[in-house]
Amino acid sequence: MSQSGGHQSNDVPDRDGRSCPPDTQKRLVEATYVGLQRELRAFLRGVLKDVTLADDALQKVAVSAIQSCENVNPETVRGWLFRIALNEARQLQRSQRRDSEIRQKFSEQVAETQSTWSVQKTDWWTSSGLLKDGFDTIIQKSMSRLPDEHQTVIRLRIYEGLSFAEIAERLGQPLGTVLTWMRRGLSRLREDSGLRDLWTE
Amino acid sequence: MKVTSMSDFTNRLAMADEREWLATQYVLGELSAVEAEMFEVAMLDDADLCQLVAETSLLISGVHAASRKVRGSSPVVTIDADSKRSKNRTTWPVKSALAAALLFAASVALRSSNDSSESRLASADFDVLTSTEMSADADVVESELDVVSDETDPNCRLCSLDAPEWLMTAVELEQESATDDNDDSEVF
Repeated sequence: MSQSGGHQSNDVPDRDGRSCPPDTQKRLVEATYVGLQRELRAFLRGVLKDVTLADDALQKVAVSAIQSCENVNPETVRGWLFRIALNEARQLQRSQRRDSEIRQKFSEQVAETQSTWSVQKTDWWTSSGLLKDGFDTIIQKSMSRLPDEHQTVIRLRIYEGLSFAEIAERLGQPLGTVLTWMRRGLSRLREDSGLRDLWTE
Repeated sequence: MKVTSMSDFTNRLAMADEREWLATQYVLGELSAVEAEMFEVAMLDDADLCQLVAETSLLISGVHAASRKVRGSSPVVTIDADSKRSKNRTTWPVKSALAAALLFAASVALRSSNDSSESRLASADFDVLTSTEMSADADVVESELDVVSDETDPNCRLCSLDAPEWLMTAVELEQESATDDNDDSEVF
């Protein structure tokens, strides 16, 4: 299955070496995958918190889906794809953790390894390939409609990467207040009709 | 709200606003390892929750992109460290100026403490001024003033106005710290 949605030849082997028949199930899986690709990518970035790993996982999802398309229930194909994505993400996380542990064992530069990992973790929201054109402008407009304190907390947490405790200290506010501002601000952003339309497109 | 059990977690996931907040915390990496694990288990059977995670991820990416557009620069976290440095850089001239002001105030206080010497100095200044009026030559003023403050003059009362040792030490220390600060700022 190609990511562009085109149908490939029907000789893609499944896990047992058999080929999936070019039946409606396969087409359904392909169509659902293509329609859900952006959400799957966003989902994987949210789970893995790493752009590169998320893209790797997305490729694996495509392969896994085509290999096991015979077993899918057409009524739950969307959830099934998300489940495959989650499983692939968790497998990647496990292998990453294993690699990291091995590196840590054999490397004397533990600090360096840890800093590399933290850089990966904070890099995941790089938006290239994920956001539609103009999406950031719409968010910007939605943000500008929020109360100042909500905007500040959201920016400090998401853009500047401060922890909630640091934000509370910086703003001289209780932690609970900061969390409430964040929660209300994001909730109002979600409810914004412009953004809601973008989700459901 | 701290999650203690899977049933507690499931109850929270049943509430729409809690569900959104948990998704946000999960995506931002705010959940503990146990909570994240429970959240992922819940996602296995809940496609809508997966969809919510995807939306949250998009929203956070969008906020990040929008904030970058607004600021058009690197995050303030790093700028903050720089501003601390620049604070250090800018404090030494202020310190030096304050020290100089203190020294000036101290010298004025010393001078005013000796009223007689002050009055004699005033009269000497007056004499100088009158002589300059006669000569109308600015150079003469300077030379006359030099004569007044000349240590070789046995009548010079300012010559006995030696700065105390603590004052000199303070000046030296201040000069040293100013030099050190200068060196530090060159490093940055």
